Amino acid sequence: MPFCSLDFGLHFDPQQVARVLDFFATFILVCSLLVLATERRHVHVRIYALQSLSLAAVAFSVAFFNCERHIFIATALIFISKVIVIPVLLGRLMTRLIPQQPVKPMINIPSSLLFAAVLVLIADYLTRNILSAGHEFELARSVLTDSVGVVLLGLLIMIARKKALTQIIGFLTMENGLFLTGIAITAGMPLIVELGVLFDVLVAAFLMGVLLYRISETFDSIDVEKLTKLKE
Amino acid sequence: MDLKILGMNVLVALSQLVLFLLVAPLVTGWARRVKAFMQNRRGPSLWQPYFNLTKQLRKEVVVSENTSWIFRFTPYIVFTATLAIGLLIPIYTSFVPLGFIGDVIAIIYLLALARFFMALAGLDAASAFGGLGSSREMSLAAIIEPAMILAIFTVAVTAGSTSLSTIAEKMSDKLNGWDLLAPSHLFAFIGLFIVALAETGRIPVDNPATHLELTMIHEAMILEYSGRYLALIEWAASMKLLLFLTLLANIFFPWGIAASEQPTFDGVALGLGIYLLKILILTTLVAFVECTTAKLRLFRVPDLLTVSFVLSLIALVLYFILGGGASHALL
Repeated sequence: MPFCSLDFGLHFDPQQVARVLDFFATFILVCSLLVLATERRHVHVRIYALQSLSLAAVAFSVAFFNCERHIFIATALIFISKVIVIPVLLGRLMTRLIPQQPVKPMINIPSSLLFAAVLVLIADYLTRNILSAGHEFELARSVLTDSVGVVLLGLLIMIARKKALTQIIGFLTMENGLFLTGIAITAGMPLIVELGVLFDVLVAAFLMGVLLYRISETFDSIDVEKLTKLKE
Repeated sequence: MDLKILGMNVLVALSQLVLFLLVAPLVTGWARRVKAFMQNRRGPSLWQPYFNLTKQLRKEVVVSENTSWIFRFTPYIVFTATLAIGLLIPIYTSFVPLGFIGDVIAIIYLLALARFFMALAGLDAASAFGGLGSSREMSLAAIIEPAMILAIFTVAVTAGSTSLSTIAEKMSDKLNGWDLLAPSHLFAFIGLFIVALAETGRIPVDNPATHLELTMIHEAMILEYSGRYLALIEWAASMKLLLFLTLLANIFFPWGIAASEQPTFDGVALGLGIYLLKILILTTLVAFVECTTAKLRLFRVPDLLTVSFVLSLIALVLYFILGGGASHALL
């Protein structure tokens, strides 16, 4: 089924293609910010699914416009694993978790958002030199900045939130950011690498889900602060 | 200036005035209709806001004897300020009737003027609810206004002008029809959308359908009003909704706006049609958001507004960061 733009004899202006990529990459960054902006866990999972859908759209655009056919397979895998399997898995996990008192985040929402804005600036600072040097696959200028930003935001989510489930979302967000970097810079890593990474994430999500369930069973809470306390 | 163009512009200005006044209640009615539909209710007629207005305009005014002149002046000030903003924005042609008075900064200050008098009037009658509404309104405004200014400035720096007429023209330029995809605009759009929800008192922030909640903001301030004063304030409120939807539509999706240099009848008619379609879609979107989100606790509202502020801030910063890339092609 994979058809790319050249099969249809279409030639797109690289600048327009870059805009499409920029748009989806920015949307991924917006999604990571929104995870920080809300406390409700089922919203987190939905935002993650939306973010992954956007990542799949980036992968598809790279495959379609640049005729990197093997990325179609990666697109399909991203779609199945990250848009469907992991959100459904986390959604089912949530119904089994013990209802609990709201956990106050380490850093409250307004200040973590301001931190996030600073992190986006840092991402820009980090990538500016690379971008000004010019790299071979300049698919889209801002994709690299966006993806470093997403990785940093994922890290912030893991640090600033105490709930284990949100920390899993933070981890998955970081991973999305790394994947975006990979696609944006190299126009697709070899298929075997992508397969490996995807299965890693899938297995990691499974394992963390099981672990989360155990934590919730044992401690009656998924507040990771409580893990530091000894318990009989 | 050519006499024909001048005549056309006068015509456009007058029609914009009439359209803005008359369509505004319809937009409110449509939003209520969509909400009713999504909640499996039949809902009031689409024309209900007009019935309300005509009835209130005919009714007697009751004013508390403890109030001062501010209470009686405020409805007129709010109404006129909102109407003036309606003539400061391009609606279906890029010609702005009051363009010689001011640009987007004037709009922000006119909004602030209306808000200031509204808050004073809320305090004036010395009722507990009024004071509560006013203090809430002002404290939220402290976050709403910067967010709104940053979001609009993002678009303004992209177009290189704070004149909404120039912004609309540059954005609807055929060559740069892809502007929607400029990354900073995505941030700015979401930021301004949240601002619009907050400014027009829609559900995550305030509930427009009730004045029996302790969390109300706008309704608390106007609780003392009756008769034609209430009509003017409600009319202004629906114009404000239309105003923000128009800002969203014409700043971020300015396709189909007729250029003011050579306005043709066809171009203006097309612009009007597309404009109404955009407003229809955006109103439906607002109603959809209202139906699918729960109202925030008042102390959580600043969280939402901070999201809007940070998104707008990042939007502006992204423009300068990615000065190359997508946004650069505009200049």
